[in-house]
Amino acid sequence: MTAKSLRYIKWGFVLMFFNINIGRFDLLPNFAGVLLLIMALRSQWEETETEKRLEPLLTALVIDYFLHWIFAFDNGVENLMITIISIYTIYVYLGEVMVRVEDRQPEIAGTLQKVRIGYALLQVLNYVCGAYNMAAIVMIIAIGFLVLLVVMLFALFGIAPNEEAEGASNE
Amino acid sequence: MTIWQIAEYSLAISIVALLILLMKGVFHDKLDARWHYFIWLVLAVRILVPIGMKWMKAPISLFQAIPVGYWVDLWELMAQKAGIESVLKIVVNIYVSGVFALTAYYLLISIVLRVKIFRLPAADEQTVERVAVIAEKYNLKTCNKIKLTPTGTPFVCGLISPTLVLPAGEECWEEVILHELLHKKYGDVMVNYLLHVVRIFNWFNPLIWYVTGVVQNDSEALCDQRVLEAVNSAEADCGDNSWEKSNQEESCKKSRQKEYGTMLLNMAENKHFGKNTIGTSNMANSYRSMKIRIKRIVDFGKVPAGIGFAALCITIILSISSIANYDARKSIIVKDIENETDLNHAMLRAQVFEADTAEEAAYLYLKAMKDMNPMYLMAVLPKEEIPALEEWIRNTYRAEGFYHDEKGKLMQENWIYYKEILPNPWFIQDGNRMVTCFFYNMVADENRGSAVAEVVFKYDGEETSFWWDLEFIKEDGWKVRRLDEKEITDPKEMAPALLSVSEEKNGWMVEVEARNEGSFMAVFVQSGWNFVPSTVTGGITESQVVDYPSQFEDSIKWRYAYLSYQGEKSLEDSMINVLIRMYDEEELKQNPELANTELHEGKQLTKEELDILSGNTVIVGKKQEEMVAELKNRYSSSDGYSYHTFDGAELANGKRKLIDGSGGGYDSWNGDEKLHFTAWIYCDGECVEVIQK
Repeated sequence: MTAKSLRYIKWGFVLMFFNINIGRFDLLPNFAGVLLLIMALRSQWEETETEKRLEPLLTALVIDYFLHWIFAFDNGVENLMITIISIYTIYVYLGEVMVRVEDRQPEIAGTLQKVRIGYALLQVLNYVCGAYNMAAIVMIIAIGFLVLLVVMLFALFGIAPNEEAEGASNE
Repeated sequence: MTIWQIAEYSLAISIVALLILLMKGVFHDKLDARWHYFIWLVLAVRILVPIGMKWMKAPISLFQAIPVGYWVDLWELMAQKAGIESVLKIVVNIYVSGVFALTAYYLLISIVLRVKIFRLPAADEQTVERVAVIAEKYNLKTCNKIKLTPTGTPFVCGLISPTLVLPAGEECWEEVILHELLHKKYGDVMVNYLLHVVRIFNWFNPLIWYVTGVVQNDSEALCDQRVLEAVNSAEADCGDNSWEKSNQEESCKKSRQKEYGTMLLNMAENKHFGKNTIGTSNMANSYRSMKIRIKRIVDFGKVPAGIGFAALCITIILSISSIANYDARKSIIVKDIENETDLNHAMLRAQVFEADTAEEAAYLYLKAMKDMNPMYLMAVLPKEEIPALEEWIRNTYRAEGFYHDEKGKLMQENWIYYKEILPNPWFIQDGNRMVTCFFYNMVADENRGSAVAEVVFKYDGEETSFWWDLEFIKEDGWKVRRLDEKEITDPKEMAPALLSVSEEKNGWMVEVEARNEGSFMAVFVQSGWNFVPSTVTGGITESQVVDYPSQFEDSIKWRYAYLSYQGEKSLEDSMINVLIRMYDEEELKQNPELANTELHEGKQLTKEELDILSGNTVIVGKKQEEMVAELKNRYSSSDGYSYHTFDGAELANGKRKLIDGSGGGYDSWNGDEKLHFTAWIYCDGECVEVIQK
């Protein structure tokens, strides 16, 4: 994994998952985060088949998030599709990062595996319980998300770049 | 079952089917054949869960975004107004005939196929042996009956004792036999039957025909994947695990996929009698369907590793979204009405609204009065009152309810009540504005309910208050009928009691009453035009939920106690002290000690304590106020007691005096509960009576 790509991934996830809002305006727009994730894929030595297939979905997320950043709109079907696409893309994306680091840093790969399962699980829980106004469960899910994000960022920031090895393997 | 229920059901499953097709398009090369097949479980869930189920909620619901039920209700109402009942009866007959005809057709072709299979020669021993060997190799059960057909491709037929039909005259590929045995193992014939049942009930819906075809093809694609998995697994078990061997194995896998794909192409469009028939699983298919299967074979092994969990999560979310918040039909969107079409549309929307609870209906009733908007009223009026209101709305609309602004645009004025037009007193005098409203004794069972509302109207700065006796009736949704209206002339007049109990002893009479009290403060917070009940929480922002509550903002149990004296003794210049404890049956059950008249630290209030409380004694060395506060605290409602002191003259001539009133909790009495009390009455420091009920 190249240093450049790693940098994009870290900041991509930071932008994607953290929001600082001034009124309706988000200073850390999600679309920029996803854009960085796409750039991260492209700055690898070689994109895997899965990563290539992931790009159209990431592009769809960029467009949707950008439109939401500019305009305030709400559509149930679009919401549903974007929720599902984002669960899939983040799950697979973290899986690809995991595969790239598992030889050199298996403990980080293990953490990322737990994070992606936890993320998908929390999304489902949030979806199932979100409409019932159960404060305790909402709080647990919110804390869960926060913990997960912190663990994920620690794991991502702990990945060491391996440009030489990847370059050599491609040669 | 009405034609509208059938239409709603078919439309709902079509919408879910379209969503699934859309998701399959998005993930066409990103998830494997297993997901592409099992995602249809979402449709199965929609088919099995009754339409209109309300208990499931979700933040994002398909049927909130696409309110199918609402549309169908609108069509139904429009049809009723158009008076086409006779046409609808014909449509129902056509539908039922279609169901019977298709059932008969499927039964017929099924019987014909069985007869044909029955007549086919049984497979020779060599073929039977070969099938048995393949079954054993892959840990599968073989078929008891194996027949040979002179034409066509292999298939499995039958549910209880499936028959494997193989082409005669040629040796079948191992993969082909494996494919059919896997169909048998995974019960795909049963799925085929169920798909035909879905077709029968949706015979008029071309999308369902298309979708069931896609499901069948996905079943075949999954079986292809299972074949390749089984073959690869069997081959891998035989080899060693060296790197070279592993590379070789990978290349073999690809070659196997290619061969299997070629074999499928050769089968495409092969004519035979078992194809697409009810109760069979058939390997052969059209070129177009084969294309998808071959694509899945090519993609086999390319989907990301460990994707199963994410696929499961996606399926769960889609399943919930396809059944949750189905009551999205219940939204009234009262737009600006600019012409008669808008008016008709608004009235239709209002009439299809179904309030979930009596409280929700009450809320809308109040909102109608507050906003002077008859659309909200129309949403909660009983059916028999609708025609009169509709006529009134039309008259008002055409007469004085609207005017043209300077740009010529038709503007809407406040809805006004004209007594000469409107026989029913829905709205109070013209120009009146409802400013506050409290609800008392809201009680409702499953079908009926009642409440008393205290409403205050303002006109030209003057306020007029009324008691409204309201009745709640469950029709399709909850409705409200105003039974009586009485002007409140005495501002101190209390709301009627829901529960009451009294006891008289030696001229002393204690009466305890109780009522529920609630309010819809949000009615007066915002006068928006859109109403969405908060029972549908998905997609509604927090502020909307605050603006549009479906239940009481406050629901409080109030208890009041009155004391009167009818005895001969004069109470002039006497100081009366009353200690009273009120409790209901539930509280008594939890704490039987409440009924103990000797309670409160084992003694009654002492003369000294009463004097201090009444201010007759000045305390030396301790601040009077502190001491009084301490005593009041001791005999306060926190321990179930309430202490009161007043001049006996207040009870002169049998006058009833309110001695206590307290309320609390976010709960309410249900109308058939029992109240209890214990009162200690002191006259000039002497306990003259202890009354208990």
